[in-house]
Amino acid sequence: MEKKFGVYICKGCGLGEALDIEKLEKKVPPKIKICKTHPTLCSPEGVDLIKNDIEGEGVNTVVIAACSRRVLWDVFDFRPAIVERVNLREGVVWSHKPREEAMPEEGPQVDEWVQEMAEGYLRMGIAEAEKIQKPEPCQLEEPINKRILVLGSGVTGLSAALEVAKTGYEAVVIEKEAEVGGFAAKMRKQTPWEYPYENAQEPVIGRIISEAEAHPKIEIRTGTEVARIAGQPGLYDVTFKPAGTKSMWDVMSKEEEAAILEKLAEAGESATSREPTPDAPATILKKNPDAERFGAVILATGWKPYELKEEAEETPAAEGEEAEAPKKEEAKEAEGETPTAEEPSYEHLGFGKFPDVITNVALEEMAGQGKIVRPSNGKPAASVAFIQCPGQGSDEDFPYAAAITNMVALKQAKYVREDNPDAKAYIFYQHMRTLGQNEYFYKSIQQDEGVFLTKGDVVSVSENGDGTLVLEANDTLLGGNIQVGVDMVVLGTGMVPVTRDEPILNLAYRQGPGFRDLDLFDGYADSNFICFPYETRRTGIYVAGCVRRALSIQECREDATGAALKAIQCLESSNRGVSVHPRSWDMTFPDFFFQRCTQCKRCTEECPFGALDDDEKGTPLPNPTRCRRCGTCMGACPERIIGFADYNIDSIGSMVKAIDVPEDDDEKLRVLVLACENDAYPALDICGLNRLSYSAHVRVIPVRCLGSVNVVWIKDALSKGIDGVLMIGCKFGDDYQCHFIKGSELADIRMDKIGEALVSLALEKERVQQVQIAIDEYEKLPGIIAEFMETIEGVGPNPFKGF
Amino acid sequence: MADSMWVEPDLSFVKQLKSLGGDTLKKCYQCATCSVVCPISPDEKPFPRKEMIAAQWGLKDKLVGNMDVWLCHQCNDCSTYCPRGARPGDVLNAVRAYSIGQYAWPQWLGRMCRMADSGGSFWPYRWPFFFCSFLP
Repeated sequence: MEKKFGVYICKGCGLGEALDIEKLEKKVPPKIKICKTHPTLCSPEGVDLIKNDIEGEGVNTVVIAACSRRVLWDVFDFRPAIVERVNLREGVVWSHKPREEAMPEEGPQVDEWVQEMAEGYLRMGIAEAEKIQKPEPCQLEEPINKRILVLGSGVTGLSAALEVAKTGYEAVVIEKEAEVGGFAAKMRKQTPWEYPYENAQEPVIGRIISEAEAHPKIEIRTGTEVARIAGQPGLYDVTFKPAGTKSMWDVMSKEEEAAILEKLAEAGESATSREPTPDAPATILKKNPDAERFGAVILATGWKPYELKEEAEETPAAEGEEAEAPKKEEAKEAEGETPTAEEPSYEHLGFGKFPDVITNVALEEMAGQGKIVRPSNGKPAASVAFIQCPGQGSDEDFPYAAAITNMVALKQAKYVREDNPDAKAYIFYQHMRTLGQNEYFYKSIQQDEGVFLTKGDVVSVSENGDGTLVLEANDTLLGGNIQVGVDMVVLGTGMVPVTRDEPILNLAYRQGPGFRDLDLFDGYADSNFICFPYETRRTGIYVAGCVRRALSIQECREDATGAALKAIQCLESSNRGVSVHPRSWDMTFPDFFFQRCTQCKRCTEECPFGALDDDEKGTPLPNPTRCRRCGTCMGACPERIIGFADYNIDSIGSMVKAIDVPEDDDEKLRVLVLACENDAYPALDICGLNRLSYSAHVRVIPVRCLGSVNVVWIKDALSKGIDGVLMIGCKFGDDYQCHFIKGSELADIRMDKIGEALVSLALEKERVQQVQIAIDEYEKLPGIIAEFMETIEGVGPNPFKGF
Repeated sequence: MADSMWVEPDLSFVKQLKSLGGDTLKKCYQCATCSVVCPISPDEKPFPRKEMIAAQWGLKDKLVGNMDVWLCHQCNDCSTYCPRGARPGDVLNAVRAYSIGQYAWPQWLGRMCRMADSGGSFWPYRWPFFFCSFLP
């Protein structure tokens, strides 16, 4: 496509007063014939001016020098023409107070530095517009499948399936167990979910099950597990297997695969041409021709009870052992895999030692089947103590306990009272969390005269001699240390997300069968809790319910709706060839110039979403609908062969090269700011809105994510004589805010390396810096920029200036 | 342990306090607003907060014979400011009413005076004492 440029400069919003627009117009390269100004470009007349040129003059590349690209994008939407926005308002005029002393004696009252900045940005904008192409929607070769696979048939899974089905899509629910319903089906009652929120209610699961079973668009398969999920959103090829069996389509972890390949090599078999068996399953590159196709996946596999370390019985009591035996079997079954972290031990609570010390899960199962009785002798429990925190000086809860654990204790205390009107229920807590409407539930349970609540530090549970137990707690609300005699002790243990120990999904992805870096979230299947609930680091796979966070049944149902909508959104985006959240309008997909690929696999490894697999040789195999268009691969590629139609090495590189570098003026240092467009660039805009001034010597280029910054841009900038490069991105670390999860962290690692390269070029390390900022910290930006300018003044001008 | 108090909640005591006008006692959540607004609460061992939890837990020994409940002059600031409507003033009143029934001599007279109380006042073996009281 031959580009025909039109440059339009707005004079509104103070631009006409603060800038010499005539001088600015003269800076437009002479090859661009159409350059117009307008008092208010965003007015209907201004928009018509541009539209007329597009229709009448054949302009197909529109450069608008007005406000930030973040505003009025709908007004300046001239698709299919390419639109380039030059940010003169927030980026120049509003954020740079003219210096009084620098005003010329005659002519327009314009600060020279501000004028230079505007001219610089205009030149950079034109340079970028020259390099970018019109994005084409990224279309898959095969038509996408719109069925949604739901893993897990608990409250969350079935609710999600119902939401999906009611919206008109088909859902297939997979359940590992023989029965549907999950743990909710075993419960006596659930915490309240509707007005007046005062009493535990009949579980809704029965209604959900019958509704789901009767729905024509829902298919439920019990006793089934996923062997492998291959492919990408819209085109997932899923292989199922009977629960608990091995399959030739199981996905191996990298270590397992390496071990098996080694064994095969020893036996003289070829690794690629072999026939897969359940013991040596197929590699991820092999496609199962019999796999079923799905469009998106909802992971609702929930939780499993936290396994407490059991204390060995010192003197085995015949009575106790009998009751103990079946429980231990259960524990062994659930163990299966080794726990990832060192499990804390709660010796003082006597779990495993006294049969009457049980977990809240065991009590719920007992209550679901009948009356609450003492496991040791089968007699009704006259007094039960609920321990919320293991105590012994610490106010930590049991691992994986949450607000719902407190709610469960309140609910179960009521069971005790219902089963026996003379019974007493004690609750020992360090924090009682009954959020939102649940406070009404707390109030109502508290009203029961047989429920006794106190904050307290539990010291020990011991035997009383008559077969009952003595619980001792310190620092209680009763004014000191107390002891109570009880028949039973119930420990408020937490709900462990199943994803902590198993990949569950069994993705045939190069980056592994499960989610990555879940240890950041204690194993909960989450990616960016605050910003993007239900999202994961695997596009097309959405999580809901207790696998994501310990939740009540009602919260699980709400979660299910969210995840179902996300899954549908994913299908409807993949279908149109656009990216899913957060760049949900983006049609581009990274183009790879494979002829120059050196198979270094950096893109495959560093992609936060695992969009790239690779073939036997290590050449990346793109999966367009897994991609979220962050550009991390582009930042990673040392060969610079990855780019997008409208955002690539050349387009940003050309902008860098278009920056004016004054060579003879030591006062005018030039600093390139690469600002992440998710937080940092908006924060800079907000500085403008609030008229906060920062140095006029910086030139800001927005980038999709700091992860997309290729070091070549920094090399270009420094070799051109630019004095420093400041990268502003999101916070990284444990509580990262990066929209693409790893971008700012990767940039930091890469910048560490470039520091070494700079030193070898006799350039100071300080010239390249990265800072982390959140969008609400905009008021810090002028200070951060000033500090960096001072640093650069300290190290002096770039010696490469003028070369 | 020696410094640990053995606690045995008395369910019937809680029910009795409730029937004596302390029906709101279980609403307390120990924020201590009552002890802060009370004009005569001492700095050491302030009340009525500790009385409230003792009442909730049915700790009869801690309340009956407790001198603090008699310091209260029922200004009801605590009940006015209580954020949960637990009405500590009324609960102290109920504790006093119960104590009167317990310590008054003759006890039946005390219990008769306790209008709201209906439980256990007229046990048959006390009837002789009743008649004796009419003797000159």
